[in-house]
Amino acid sequence: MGLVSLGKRAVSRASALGAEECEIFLKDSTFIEARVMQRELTCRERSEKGLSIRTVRKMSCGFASNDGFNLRDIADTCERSKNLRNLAPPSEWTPERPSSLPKLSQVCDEELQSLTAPELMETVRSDVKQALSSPKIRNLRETTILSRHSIAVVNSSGLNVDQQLTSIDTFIQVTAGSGSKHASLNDTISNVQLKGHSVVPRIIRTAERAAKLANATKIRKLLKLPVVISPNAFAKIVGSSLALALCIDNFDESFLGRFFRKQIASKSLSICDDGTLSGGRFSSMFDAEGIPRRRTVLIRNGLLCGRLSNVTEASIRRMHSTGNGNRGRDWDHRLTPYVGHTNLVVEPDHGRLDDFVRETNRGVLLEDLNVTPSWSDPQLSGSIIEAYTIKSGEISACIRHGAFVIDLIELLNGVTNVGKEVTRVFDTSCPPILVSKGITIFPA
Amino acid sequence: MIERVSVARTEFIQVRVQDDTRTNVLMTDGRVDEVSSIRMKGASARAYRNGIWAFAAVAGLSDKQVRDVVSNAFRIARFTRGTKTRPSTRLRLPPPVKERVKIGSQGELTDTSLEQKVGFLRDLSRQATTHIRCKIRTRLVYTEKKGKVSILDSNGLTIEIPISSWGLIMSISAKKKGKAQEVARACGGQGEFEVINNEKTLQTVVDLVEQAERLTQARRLRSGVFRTVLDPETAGVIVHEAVGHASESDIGLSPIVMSRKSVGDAIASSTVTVVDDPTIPNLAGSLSFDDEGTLARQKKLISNGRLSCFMTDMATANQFRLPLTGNARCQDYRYPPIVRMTNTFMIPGTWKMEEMIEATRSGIYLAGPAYGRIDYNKGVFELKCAEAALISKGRLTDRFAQITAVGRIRDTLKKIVATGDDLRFGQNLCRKFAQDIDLTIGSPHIMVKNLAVFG
Repeated sequence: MGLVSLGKRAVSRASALGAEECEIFLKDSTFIEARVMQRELTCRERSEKGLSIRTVRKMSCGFASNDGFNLRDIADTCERSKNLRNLAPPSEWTPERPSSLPKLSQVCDEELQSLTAPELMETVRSDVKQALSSPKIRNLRETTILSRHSIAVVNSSGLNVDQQLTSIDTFIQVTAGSGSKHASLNDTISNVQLKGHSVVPRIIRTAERAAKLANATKIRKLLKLPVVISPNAFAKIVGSSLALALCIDNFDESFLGRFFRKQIASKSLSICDDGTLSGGRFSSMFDAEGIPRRRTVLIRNGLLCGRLSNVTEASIRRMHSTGNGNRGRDWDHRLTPYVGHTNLVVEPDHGRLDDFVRETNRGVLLEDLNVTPSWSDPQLSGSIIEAYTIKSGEISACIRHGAFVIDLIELLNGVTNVGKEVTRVFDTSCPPILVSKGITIFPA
Repeated sequence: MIERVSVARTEFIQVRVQDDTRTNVLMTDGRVDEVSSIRMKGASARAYRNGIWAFAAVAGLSDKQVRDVVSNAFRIARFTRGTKTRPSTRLRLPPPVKERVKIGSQGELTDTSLEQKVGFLRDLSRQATTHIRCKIRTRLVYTEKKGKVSILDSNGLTIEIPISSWGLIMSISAKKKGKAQEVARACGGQGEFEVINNEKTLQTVVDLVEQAERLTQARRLRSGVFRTVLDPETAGVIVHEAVGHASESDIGLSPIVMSRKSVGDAIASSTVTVVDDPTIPNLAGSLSFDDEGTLARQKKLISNGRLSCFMTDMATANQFRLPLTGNARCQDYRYPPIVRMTNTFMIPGTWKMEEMIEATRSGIYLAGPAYGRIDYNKGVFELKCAEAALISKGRLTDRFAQITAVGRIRDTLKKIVATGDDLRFGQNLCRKFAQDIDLTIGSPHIMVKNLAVFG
């Protein structure tokens, strides 16, 4: 029986138990993981099936989930959902009516859909063998996870949608260097593997960066200079602060709360959330509540103009959902839908990273950071993973043992140039950025 | 079935079966946002063959599903054959146990109804708003888990472990004159509900409200390297990140952090003794047996500054030829057990907190709530805490908000110059290799000679 048919059966069962309205979320997922550690290759396989039910009666909402699809599971979940309703307050939530979904061809890749565990292991084995033949690499850890999801949302208002999704993520940790000087770096590669793209060049590039890091010099004094921010570092800044603050449930209490429809960044900066981005890590036809994914402009030419919402939070505020109901990276049926971003896109402008470096007489190139997430405080801090000093328009020494403090509002206003070459860093597509102020770097 | 598979095809196979129900209540400003009931049931199997571990997991507990998961683990073990590079070693296993752990040994959630628990959360929210002097938002998340886990293996282990735990996260965000701050504190354990239904929890909420409000007006600290006194909460994070993670054999035994030969080396100042003890009853990390069925036991990780042992699970004990310490834990049936901490804490010393402040002519006092992370690649930890105060001539003066401290593991442990007499435990949700588990961290006040602090 298909997921939609099972969902319809669950809707009938919930209605029979007295639910005035209900929504069923079903998923059937498999994960294959191939991992190389200490030059040993291992494999894991996981299959997850489950459903969750939200039921409303007399304006009260109950939520229950179960691992499994059989009829007893469905009945048990409906019963528990019903039992919880009397505890919950009057709910603003009502199931959505059906609407047309975006047509996306990239969310389910045929090659990934049919890949078996031995085939994935063979690919990983061959990649690692090739990468380790490079004299630059001392050690390599690689984990590749192939995820395949069948998702369906069915509700009592007539919505019944389903979709197939595939994704592949490779996490690498490369150690490089010579003699007693060595350093390790992590990198994540998503959704480009297999389709004619090997991860080996990326591993080699990461190894080259790690080798530079092994010979890095210590930061000795506080630096408050213009900064060129690489796509990797800017993606972390955007994902760990802006995207969280722009979720509608955080927005009012966040540091952005008083800036809606106001200029918060330089005019060269535009950022959007795009759940329909071709090949995007979190692209899908609909969200965890069956709402079509879409593109939401968050910042247009520096003006804060958009926020992210799901059905529940939008109902409370008398707004429309932006299709940002999430249930975690793996569409976890155990979670109630929460507001979260999909693929963040920093719009490219003109200029290249090399040009930004050339324009900077004295400054710093931030390549990678550890950023602590924060939506309430505009001040971000953390440690620098990889950075370089810029002297007379040229990249000089690699620096280590550094920490940073960013005043995000100052940084956004201090953006003087946005590059044109976009790099996809997991869920964020981002060009390099040149910033005149807003970052302080110091020894740690 | 396990016996049949193991004899024929693998050296060792272990099956873990889990069936539990979690109840979550999410309350915002006294209004129940969500009550949910989550049933988790599934099985996982690990097979060991020719020096390789294979893992498979499935949702559901029908006979067919459990049979399939065992077959899948075997299938994976078979096709991973030949990929290993080390010679195969015979797996060392703990002695087989046949036991049903009694639920009373870890405490039980009483029959307090969910309505009563929701009522208590409302009391907490009310308590927060009675102290209101600015715009605040109170978010409370109560979670409880009841069920059981069974572990069986081809070595004759048959064990049934009850699951009965609760957790409460209290998060307060305050906004004053356009400045917003958020502080959150978690508590949890395996005792009865009455453990949190008391005045102490009510007072915690009041403290958080006062702290969040205070922080909206706090100044920013200029960066620098300071003599630092850390309260038990922030010191607990250092114990967890710098000692705990570095003593996990799968992380710690990397050339950047430590090597196996480091056992016996002085890696911390002689005032530091750190213990991982799952046998303390009713804490978040308390266990009778770990998730591989190994009897949980207390172990000293650092004894008077010297590295005493690494925590291990079956895989790493075998790989590094170390003793099995019973530290294998997994988030749930979907994940294989990996080396994790349980209740990890620093043994208290003799200093009073006031003595530490008085002994500091110029420095910083760091106070929680706090959380941290470790950068395995660099052997560096990072600590983020809500509040700090300047210590000037033995007195606490100016207050600062949202402070970050960064240090190298080995350097920082050697710079601990004093440990207090006031050990306090706290609950911590720790993420490692994409698995979240609850555990306990504990420490008294400590004083660190030099720590890079910025805000």
